[in-house]
Order: sequence, then C-alpha cells, then structure tokens
Amino acid sequence: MKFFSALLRSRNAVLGAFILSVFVAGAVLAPVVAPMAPTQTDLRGRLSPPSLSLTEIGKAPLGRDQLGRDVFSRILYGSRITLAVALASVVVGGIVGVGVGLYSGYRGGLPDQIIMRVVDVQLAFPLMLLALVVVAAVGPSIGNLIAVLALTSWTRYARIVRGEVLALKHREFILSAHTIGANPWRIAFQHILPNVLMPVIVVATLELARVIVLESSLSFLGIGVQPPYPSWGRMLAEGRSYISSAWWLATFPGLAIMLVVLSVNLLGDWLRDTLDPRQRERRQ
Amino acid sequence: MARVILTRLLNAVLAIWGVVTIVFVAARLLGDPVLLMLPIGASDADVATLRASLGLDQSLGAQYVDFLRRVAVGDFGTSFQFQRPAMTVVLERLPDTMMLAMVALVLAVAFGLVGGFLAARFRGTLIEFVTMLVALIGQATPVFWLGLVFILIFAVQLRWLPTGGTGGVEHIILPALTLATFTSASVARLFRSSLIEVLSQDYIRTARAKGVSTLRLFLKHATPNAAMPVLTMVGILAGELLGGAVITETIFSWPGVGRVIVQAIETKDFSVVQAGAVVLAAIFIAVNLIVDLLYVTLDPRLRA
Repeated sequence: MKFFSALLRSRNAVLGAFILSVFVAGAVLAPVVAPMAPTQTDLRGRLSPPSLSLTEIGKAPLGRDQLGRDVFSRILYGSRITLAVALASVVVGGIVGVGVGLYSGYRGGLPDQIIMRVVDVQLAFPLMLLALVVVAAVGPSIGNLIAVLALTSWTRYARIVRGEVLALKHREFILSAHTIGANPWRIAFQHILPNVLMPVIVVATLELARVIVLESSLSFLGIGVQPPYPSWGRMLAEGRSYISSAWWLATFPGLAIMLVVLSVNLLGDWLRDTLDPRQRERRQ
Repeated sequence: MARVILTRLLNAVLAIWGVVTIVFVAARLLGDPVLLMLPIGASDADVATLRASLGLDQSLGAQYVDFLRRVAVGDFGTSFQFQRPAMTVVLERLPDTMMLAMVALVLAVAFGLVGGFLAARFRGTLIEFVTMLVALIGQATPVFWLGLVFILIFAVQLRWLPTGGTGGVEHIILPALTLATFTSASVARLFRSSLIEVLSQDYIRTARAKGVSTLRLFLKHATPNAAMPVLTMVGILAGELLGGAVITETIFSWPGVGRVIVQAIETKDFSVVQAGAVVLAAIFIAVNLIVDLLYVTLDPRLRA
C-alpha cells in the first residue's frame, strides 16, 4: 500500500502508469475494442483519412491504409506484438543476466574476470549493430527477435547484479549462512537474490523502453516482426511510401511507440528514484 | 600515466577482437551462409562446391583462425552485390557517415548543454518544466518516426529542405537533427542533474559568499565540473549515434555505411554486413578510448 500511495504522489509516475494501462488494456481487449480484424482489407475504404463518423462506409477514427485496413485496429493488435515481444525479451534477458551476475559475483576469481570481460566486449558493440549482424545471420522471426533483444540486454543486469553481490558477499548475514553450512545455491537464491531485486526491477523497466524502440526499429527496417503480424515499426515503414498523400499511416503508429516509451520511461525514472536512490545519477 | 594509457589501449584491442569474434559466431554458428546464398532447390553438389570454395568445409577452429587472419588485413571477402571487396565498399561510404554523426554529435551536445543549463539555472520555473518536458519527449521519440515527421513538415509541407540524398548543406540538416534529438535529450537531463549536484557543494557556496555573480558562478565555477559526466557520456552517445545512423541514413537516403548495411541485409550480401558492423564498432571503440584518455588528462585525480 505504501508503494501505491508513493506512486500517487508523483505526478509523472501517475501519468506514466495511466498511459501504459491504456495501452495494456487496449492490447488485452483488442478483439473486443477493435472495429475490424487487423488483416481485414476493404478496398472501398482505401487510404480514407481519419474521421469521427462511425456510420459512413470506409471511415475510421485513425484512417485506413493502402489496403483499406483499419489503422486503429492495427495499432491495437500491434500493441499486443510489441508489448509481448518486449516483455519476453526483458524477462529472458533479465533471467540470463541476473543468473550470470549472481554466479560471477558470488564465484569470483577467474570465471568472474572472464565473464566481466565478455560483458565489456559486448558493450563495445553498439546494440543496433549487434542486433543487425545477428538478425542477418539467423533470419527474422518472432522467436529470433526475442532472442536478439535479450542478447542486447543481459549485460546490463549482469553488471548491476554482480556489483550488488560483491557488496553483499561479506556482510554478516551471508557469512553466518555460510557458517551454518547453507549450500551456495541456497545462499544465492534465498539470501542474495531478494536483496538485489530492487535494482533489477529498475533496470528491467528502463530496458523495456529501450527494447520497444529497438524492436520497432528492426521492424521498421523490415528485419523484425514479419507480416501478417501487425507491428508498429512495420506499419511506419509501409506508411513511409504514402507520407505525402496519407500522413496518418506513419503518424499514428509512431505516436503509439512514443507514448508507450514515454510512459515506461516515466515509470522507470520514478522507480529508480524511489527504489534505488543510489542509481539516480548512474543512468539518465 | 603511461600504464593507464597502455591498459586502455590493450582493452580497446581486446574489444575489437571480441567484436570480430561475435561477428564470426553470428555468421558461422547461427546460420548456414551457403543455404542462404544459393536458391532453394540447389543440388547437393552445388552446395558442396560453394562450401569448399568459401572454406566452410574446414574445421571451425581453422575457419576462425583464417577469419581473424583475413580481418586483420581488412579482408572481409568480396561483395557479390558490388563485385568489389566488401571493405572498399564500406570505406567509400564511411566519410558520409562520419560527417553525419559528427554534425549530429555537435548539435546534440550543444542543445543538451544549453537545455540542461537552462533547466538548472531556472530551477522550479516554467523554463525548467518546458525544457525537461521536451527532453523527456525527445528521449521517447523513435528516430525513424521523428525523421518521417521532419520530412512531412519541412520537406513535404513547407518545402524548405530536401527529403533526402546528398549535396549541399541543406541535405544534412534534417538527418543530423533527427539523429541528434534523442542524444541531446539525454545530455540535457544528465547535465541538469550534474549541475544541480555541483551547485550544492561547498566551494560554490564559498564563491557565492564572496559575491561572484550568478552567471559567472554557473559558467566559470560550476560548468567545468558538471561537464565531466557529459564527457563520459559522449562515449556512450557515439554508440547511439552510429547505431542510429543505420536508420537515419535509410530514411533520408543518405549514402553512408548504415544504409549500405541495411541494403546488404536485404540482398544477403553478408560480407558487407560484417565489414560495416566491424568498422562502425571499431570507430565506437576508438571514440571511447579517446574519451577515456581525455578524462584522465582533464581530471587531475586520475593522473597519478
């Protein structure tokens, strides 16, 4: 309850939570809310501009695209793909990164040195380029996309968790767990993990925003989410050819990406300041 | 000092080796280049021939050593799309990418410093609110969408600037602005919080007590210290700019390395993808090395 009263005190966080809830609700309720199926074409309504009239044939609140598909419905269904892919990659990257960070920090010694060098090296590869090289090799599919996004993400968790573990390792409660003979797994998961969760949640939130942008960038370049799935990045890429005649095709999906990323960032900033004040200056 | 420089240099070399290794792993382990290169339904004999001609029938270790040896002299193989060495194709495009990234970096740092300064100087006023709002929105706006919106407004509607391509100064304005926006938003937020932190320190209070004017206090006393984190950030930003260039160049038909990488992915011209990625990553590593060394030179505490 304390969490929610703190949430309500921050105007930015409330705004972020509100925008995000709207998109999540839209994604969940897409089949109920969407006026048309996302792939349903209707050539009578081809490229018809946004209109508030619901009764007229071929009219749609956010307009229709080059095949007469309803932009609003596609954005709703697109949010399912975007949010699911982003969430999956954050979870996968998080589990891998936290696991590696726990092991590296707790084990210490040469394995730790090697793992941290690998992290450094991977961070020396601009993430966009890393994603491009891997996607070029494995080909685009939803599964591959999640794997690639998780790959660009695990290093951040690993670094933070390792640092936290190093700080915790020599504290009395860990030492006493050792003394009474708890095995390393138990110490790592029972005693250390709960203490590093706060920074992990903060990193995960900020990573969610980054991963959404990267996914839609890859989809925009045509190597992310593939048709027939509607994806915001892909919609933008298609709308690009009609930029001078049908502005709504590229504008609304982009606006959706911006709003979601903004809301996640607002929440992430607030979480960072609330849960983990030490990180406040570390990442802007 | 010499030790510090040597360590950093060694780390940079290690990083480049790591990048090359990642590229190798991606290319050889994750996908079979032969099956991607040949049309569907190619005979087994064709597959075997192509595999042998590319050296793919050797052991993985031998392939890796061979790959490293060739990369060391800049040989990534021939681009079948351009019928020239992949490295040449990439290096030809490099000046355009560097120019775009450089202009964007200058714009980003300039806007970011001014924005952060205004927000910290006029704390708690409408000015801070507006600059930080703009920064928040800038950080959330995807590069490709911003590019399209700029094209829609300044090229299609107002007809002030060209939609893409190269030529005069007018061609670089929109791509550079697009690329710089996200970065400048990050700089502004960092510089603001860094300035606010510095301003709470004792030496600032002392200077204020001595009667130093507010403007002088900000510019002369606070900014040099507050700007140090921004310098560190330039290293990280270089990665964002080089990665963002891939998209910006595609939108604005800017003939740089990023665009050629995207085209090469579409045509499955892997040697160009690899050469381009390694070259851009190497530049990113070099920028970070320079930033590290600058930092050591500028911060007396690290000089020992």
